[in-house]
Amino acid sequence: MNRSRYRSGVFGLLLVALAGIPPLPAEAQQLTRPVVGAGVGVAGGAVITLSAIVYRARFQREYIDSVDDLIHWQTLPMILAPAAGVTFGLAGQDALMGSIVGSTSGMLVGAASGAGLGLLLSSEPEWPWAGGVIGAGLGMSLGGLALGFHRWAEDEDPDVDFPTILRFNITLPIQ
Amino acid sequence: MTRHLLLAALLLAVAGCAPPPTPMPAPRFIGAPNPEDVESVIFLIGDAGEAPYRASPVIARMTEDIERWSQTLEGDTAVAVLFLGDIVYPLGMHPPGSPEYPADSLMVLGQVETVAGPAARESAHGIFMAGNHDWGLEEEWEGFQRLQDLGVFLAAASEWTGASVRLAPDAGTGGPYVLDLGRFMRVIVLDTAWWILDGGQLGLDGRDETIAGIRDAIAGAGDREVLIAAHHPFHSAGPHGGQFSFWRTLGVRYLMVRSGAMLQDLTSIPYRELSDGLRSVFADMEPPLVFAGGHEHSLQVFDKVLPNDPDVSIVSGSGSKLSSLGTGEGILFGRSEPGYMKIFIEKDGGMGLFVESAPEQYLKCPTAEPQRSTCMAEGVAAFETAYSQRLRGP
Repeated sequence: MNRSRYRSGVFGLLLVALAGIPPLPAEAQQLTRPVVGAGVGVAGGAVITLSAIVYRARFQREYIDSVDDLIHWQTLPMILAPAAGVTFGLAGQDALMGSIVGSTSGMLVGAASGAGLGLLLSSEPEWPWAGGVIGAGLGMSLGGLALGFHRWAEDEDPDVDFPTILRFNITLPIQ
Repeated sequence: MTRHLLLAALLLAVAGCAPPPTPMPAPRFIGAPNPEDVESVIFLIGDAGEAPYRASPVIARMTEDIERWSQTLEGDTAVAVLFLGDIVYPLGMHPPGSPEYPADSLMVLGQVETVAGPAARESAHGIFMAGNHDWGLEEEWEGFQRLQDLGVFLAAASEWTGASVRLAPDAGTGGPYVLDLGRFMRVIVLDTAWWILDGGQLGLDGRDETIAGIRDAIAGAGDREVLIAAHHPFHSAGPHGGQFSFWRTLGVRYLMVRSGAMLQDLTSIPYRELSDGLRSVFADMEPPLVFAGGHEHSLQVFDKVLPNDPDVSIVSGSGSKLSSLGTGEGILFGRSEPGYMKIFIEKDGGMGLFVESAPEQYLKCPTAEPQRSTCMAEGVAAFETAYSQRLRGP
């Protein structure tokens, strides 16, 4: 077995082991949710930052050569995504799960759509990869925020009330 | 829980479906050339900008080799030494008076001394070409200044040591610089770092002029074979060529290189424009016999992959650093060991490529005595021909 397959095996077994851990009591969950939100946010922030770096390289020809180049808007998701994760974690179980499910599914849909677009629009081998990475970041941002806020707004008993400033209605003029 | 188990099973299945890597072919060997049959020799070493002064077995071994061939061969252009960029790590030649200048100077002097032996001074020429680190990784003015300082230092070092060395092409230009060796070889030297870092913004040279210059240089070669030398290689099975384990850096570097998000990788837009520009020239004219680059810190030899590729592409970039190595289409040889390459041009027009390398532990020696002397003696003796092939018959 080569090293790559060995690592895949260890990773898979770790997931199986994690799946077997029983759920925590409600009080403990209230404390751990923001921590989980922050952790998921850090991982999500890394994906979105990577997506922004690829976007800038492919569309603006701006590349990272040194640490100084990281002081830019492209690294803001590394702060904003964990902050969003903590917020959803504090808001409640529904909001946190909504943001995780939304960001994960958004990432997968975005990656597939971006890779497909890259494949259709260019013959260069880099574009499907670039499209996939950019799409993953975009899909993760939109999906996580949309489903997180949606589930928070729908939650009848949130730990933190949904901010009224974010509440809006869309009326479709359908007859 | 069932969903998690399914996910884990899916991940394992995906990992198991990964195609096996292309195996590295067994090294080839040809016989060493008879010195009486040799007209000239080209030495190729890259990325030596971190070789400790007089504590680098690679530099010491190559110096001995250059001196030996300079004694053996006749003529004042019998030996050419091509330093394939990244002459000074990490950020090129700092200006005189800066705290980094003494260490930078020593780094360059160590390389200049390879062609400063009694016989080498008479018949060997050192051509130093810029790498991305020699530009200080900077575009425009600051990078240009670093290169100018390197050029000035090389001119001064040439006077002190008597060695024939120069920076080529001139600072801030893409080239080409053309050097004819004997009757059979034309060497075309490019500053590919200038291209990739968009040095054209300086206004001293333009990409179209460089491409036209390469076209003219190949057209003017006549019956001579062409060797193009630059810092950036044409093919690579190293990290810059995308041969990178997914697990290192948790997939980030892997995705970035495949997306073309790293400027210095073969997949970036400027690098693609460079290889496309070269391929367009090779399609109109004739591909060169050899394209030599550094950039990757290993020794690699590639066969022609596409019809307009050079006949042989080589990477000789393990002058002072080592990096990982995978495999790739067309690879004939690859090894991540300290070393250099040489091309023999025979009096009947035949040509052969030789790769000289030593085990990894002899990359650098301690600078303190007596460990330095012991390590250097062992390191120089440890070099052997790791690969050799005929490039052209008589």
